[in-house]
Amino acid sequence: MPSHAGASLVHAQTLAIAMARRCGLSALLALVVMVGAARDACATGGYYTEAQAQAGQTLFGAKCAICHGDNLQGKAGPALAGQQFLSVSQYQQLNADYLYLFMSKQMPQNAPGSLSKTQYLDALAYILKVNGYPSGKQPLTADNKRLTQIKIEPTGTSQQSER
Amino acid sequence: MHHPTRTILRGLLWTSMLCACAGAAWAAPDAAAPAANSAAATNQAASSLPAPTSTVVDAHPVSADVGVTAKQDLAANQDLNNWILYGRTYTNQRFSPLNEITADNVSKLTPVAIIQTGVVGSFENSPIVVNGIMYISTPYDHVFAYDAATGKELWSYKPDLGYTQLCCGPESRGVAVSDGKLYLGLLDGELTALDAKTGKVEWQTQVGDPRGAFSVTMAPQVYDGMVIVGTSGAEYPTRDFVAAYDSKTGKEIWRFYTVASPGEPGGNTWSGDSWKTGGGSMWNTPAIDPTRGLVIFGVGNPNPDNYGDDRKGDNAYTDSIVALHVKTGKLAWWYQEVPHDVWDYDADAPVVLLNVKDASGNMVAAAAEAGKEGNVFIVNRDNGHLIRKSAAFVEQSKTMWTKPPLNGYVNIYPGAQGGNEWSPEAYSPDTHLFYVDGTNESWEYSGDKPEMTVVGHLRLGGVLQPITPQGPIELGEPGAGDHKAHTDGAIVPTGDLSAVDPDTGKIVWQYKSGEPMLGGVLTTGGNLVFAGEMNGDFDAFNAKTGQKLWDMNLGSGVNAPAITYRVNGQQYIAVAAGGNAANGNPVLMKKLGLNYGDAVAILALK
Repeated sequence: MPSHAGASLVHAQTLAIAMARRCGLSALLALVVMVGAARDACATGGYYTEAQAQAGQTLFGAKCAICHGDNLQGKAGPALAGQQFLSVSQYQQLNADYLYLFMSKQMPQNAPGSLSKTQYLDALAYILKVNGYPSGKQPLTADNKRLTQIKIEPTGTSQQSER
Repeated sequence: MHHPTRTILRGLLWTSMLCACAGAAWAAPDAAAPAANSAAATNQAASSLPAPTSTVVDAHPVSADVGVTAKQDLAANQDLNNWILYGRTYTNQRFSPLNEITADNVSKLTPVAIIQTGVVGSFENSPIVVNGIMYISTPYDHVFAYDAATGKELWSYKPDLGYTQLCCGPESRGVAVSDGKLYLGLLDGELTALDAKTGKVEWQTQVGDPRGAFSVTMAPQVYDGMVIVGTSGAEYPTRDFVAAYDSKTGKEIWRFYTVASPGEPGGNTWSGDSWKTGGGSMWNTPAIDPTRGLVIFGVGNPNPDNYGDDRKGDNAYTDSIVALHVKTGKLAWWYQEVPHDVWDYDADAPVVLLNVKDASGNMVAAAAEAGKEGNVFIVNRDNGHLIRKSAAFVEQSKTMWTKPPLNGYVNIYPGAQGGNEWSPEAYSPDTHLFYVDGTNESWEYSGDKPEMTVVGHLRLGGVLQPITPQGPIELGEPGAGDHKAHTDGAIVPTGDLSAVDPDTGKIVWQYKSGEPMLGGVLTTGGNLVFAGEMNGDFDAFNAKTGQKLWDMNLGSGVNAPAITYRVNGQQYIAVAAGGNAANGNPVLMKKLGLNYGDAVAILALK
């Protein structure tokens, strides 16, 4: 059995590798950055702003939670957070661009496409946050290239309580 | 199959809207499902799935001999006490010579036990009975062993299903029992072997990866030390397959992909790379011809369901009756019922083996399947050549075979529920009639080019939904009623049970039901045919004339096939009643004042 410290190191390495993949850093560099700067490790300063995630949380509660659950755990609609969501998304090679396009074309289910671009991005920021993606100074934008680089995969830091 | 319950609904409502909607046209990233379609990828991915767990309660381990040898399976027709294979024998005829219960005395048929499994939901199970022990699988893949004469529970198995993607409800059509083991295909793509005496897990194999939308809903077939199962997932970008596993170890022996690749026979019937995600579910249990060494089954729809322009060609072996050499899994022949399907017309009912007169009046060995498009296809068992197509056993609209318009719609019947859906047909050698359930229901189709292919995400290629003159059948999910619909030409959904003369293709008699008939048929040596209705009635008919002789309401839709067997010299009939989750059927059932149920009725003469 690994010691607690050992487990933490493994955890940090996993995180670092995930971040490296997302941010285009080497894993080693990411690990160094992590150690220095906790979770705000992406060289570009995270994926979205706290303000976006907060707006997204409010929006989610009003428009999405009825189907996806208050904690994104899934109800009539599928879960949007948690280890199963992330590992399946990894298998399916999902990225944030796909999520954004899907949401903006098909959601909310009873009024597809009815929200503003800003609102869809806010909701996406909130989903990323709950799934453990760090915030930063730069806002999330509908930049197809950048969104495509954000892989949806296990981060090890999901904020959703596991079912 | 759209199977519909297909979740079409769920599909429409959730993922599928991917392609189904409002001209969604975003740039396709280099598409393509990741390699989930290759065997290697599937196995690799499977290795990273969490290990399955389950709960077994074996309060009363079975003491009867439930061994069932391969020799017994081959001689199932002589084994009057038992129902040891899915269709009773390898022919899938669902005929039992038992004749204690007859057309003359069936009016005295009475329940002797009502089993309540406690698992409420869409119930399609066909029980297996071995020496007085009845084995049932329920929705969500729970398995129970009962005393077949009293209904007393002996043991239960409840899997902790992992990730699942179900196009059409949590269905389980049944289990197989052989060599002292019970075999179950699971919704999360596993094949599990249990000890038939205790329910304890003996081995587990991942057949298909559920993250790629592979699931198993059919009852496995057992033959000569092999367990044969197929995957379902063709509402998603899958390439489905059937495989044989060593019954002792679960090790794969052979695998046959139901979508032909370039270089294989029929491989030139798919344009470009479309074969890689061409669908081809296997929804039901194959027949086996031991003399010819063939395993024969139906294959489901191509994917995307409604949009075929990116898969030009006939799309072999979808919507086909397929025969493989059972020892090797190599193709023997195939007959395609619907070339280049864009209406979700799976061949998803069991293939039945029987002998019929050919055009020159000679009796020949044949294989038959009642298609979703509403005709029974009867082919020569040696070469797959069509002997005849029956008269239509359901109403067929003039709009049939219209390509789903890209900027419009077309209403067609039969639709994605058939015709005959998955329901097992029956054939009586006594009457030489072939019995089949039918659905008369119009469906609205429109086509839409899928702009993006994501493995594990629904890809219907348009909209398909059941339509009545009053509008779409409410699917009971949030937002379902907001979906645009057109009702011109729509009919009120009904069902029927038909007796088809396989020598002429003519309909000899037909019973009409107020709702679609799903579940399948049993026929017996007592000149009887048994079938269920969505209104909860379980019916007995005179097999020769179609006269209704008896019915009893079981409180929920009887949408499962009945079986018959004998314990201590007494003949019993057993049938599940729980309703059906597909295609808005729950809404139709609810209108009749019925809910999902969990019952298995055991009936006998008092």
